Amino acid sequence: MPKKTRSRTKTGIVGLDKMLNGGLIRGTVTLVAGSPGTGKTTLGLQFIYNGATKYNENGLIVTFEELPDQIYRDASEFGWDLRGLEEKNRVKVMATSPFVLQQMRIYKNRLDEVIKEMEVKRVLIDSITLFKSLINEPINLRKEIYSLINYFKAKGITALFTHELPELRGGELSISNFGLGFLVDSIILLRYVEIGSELKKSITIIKLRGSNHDKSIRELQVTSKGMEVELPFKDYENIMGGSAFKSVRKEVDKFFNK
Amino acid sequence: MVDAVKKLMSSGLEVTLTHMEILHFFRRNPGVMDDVNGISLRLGLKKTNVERCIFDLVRLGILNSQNMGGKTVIAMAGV
Repeated sequence: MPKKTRSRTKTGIVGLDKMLNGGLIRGTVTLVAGSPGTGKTTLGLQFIYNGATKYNENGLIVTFEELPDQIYRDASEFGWDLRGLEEKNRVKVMATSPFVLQQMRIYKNRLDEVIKEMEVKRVLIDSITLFKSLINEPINLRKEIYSLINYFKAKGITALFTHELPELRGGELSISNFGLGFLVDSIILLRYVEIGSELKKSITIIKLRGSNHDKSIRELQVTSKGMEVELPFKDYENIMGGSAFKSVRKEVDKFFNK
Repeated sequence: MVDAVKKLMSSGLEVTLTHMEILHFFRRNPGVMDDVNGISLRLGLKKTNVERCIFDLVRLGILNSQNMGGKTVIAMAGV
């Protein structure tokens, strides 16, 4: 019997889709975790923009801190006309609070209408970290996010949740104190790494439930066209530690093999 | 936006700068759905002033209000 392959949702970021073995798994929730400025929101916007323009999949952006106006401006820096797409009913930018989103979900309010009317297939929540301002108790926070994940999954939506990590680089990596990493299906980690007195951005797939994926730590570049995933940081060690150093393994092997 | 301004100007209300700021804010950000506290924070204005003006705009049908979980959530009407 042939093996059934799971349907993929391409992010449209070529290097990332390759790392993901073809794209995100359709109808799942992915956490994009990273320090401030690593490109979490940009990656999410690119996912939504590419969905609407390349893959005929309408998108919803839910933002808690930034206003739609700011989102349109940030996106236009990369040539992504989100305002134009919103006018065509391909994308919707909703600025709200975690409390209002929670209420909309529970009472099947405006959120349901938007998803149904626009036939939304992709969602970006920027950022899930703000739910901490709504719920203090880790156990209740976990329940709320679990419900939100299931809400989107039940609708077959592929969602990206951004999540802020306070560490700028290195240190002990902890996604959250309430088990967020276990709730989501996939985790994309964006981090800073110091190489030669320069802070570079890195991208790693930590988890892709039910699928194989690229395990390398690759360089992430923010270009005028958006995110681009480059080659792995070969010949370097301690990338995850934040301060990478040139590996001497090759030289040592060469020396002993002589 | 022009219709909303006309409606406001012909309403007989004492139109303030805050009314206009709220209108301008929702025109630029039609996807905002938040309570008065959240909107005041986003505007960087005093809550009491914002609250009064928002309810003027709701009465005129320019903004929409909805009760959600005990809070009044405001959005642009017809969006």
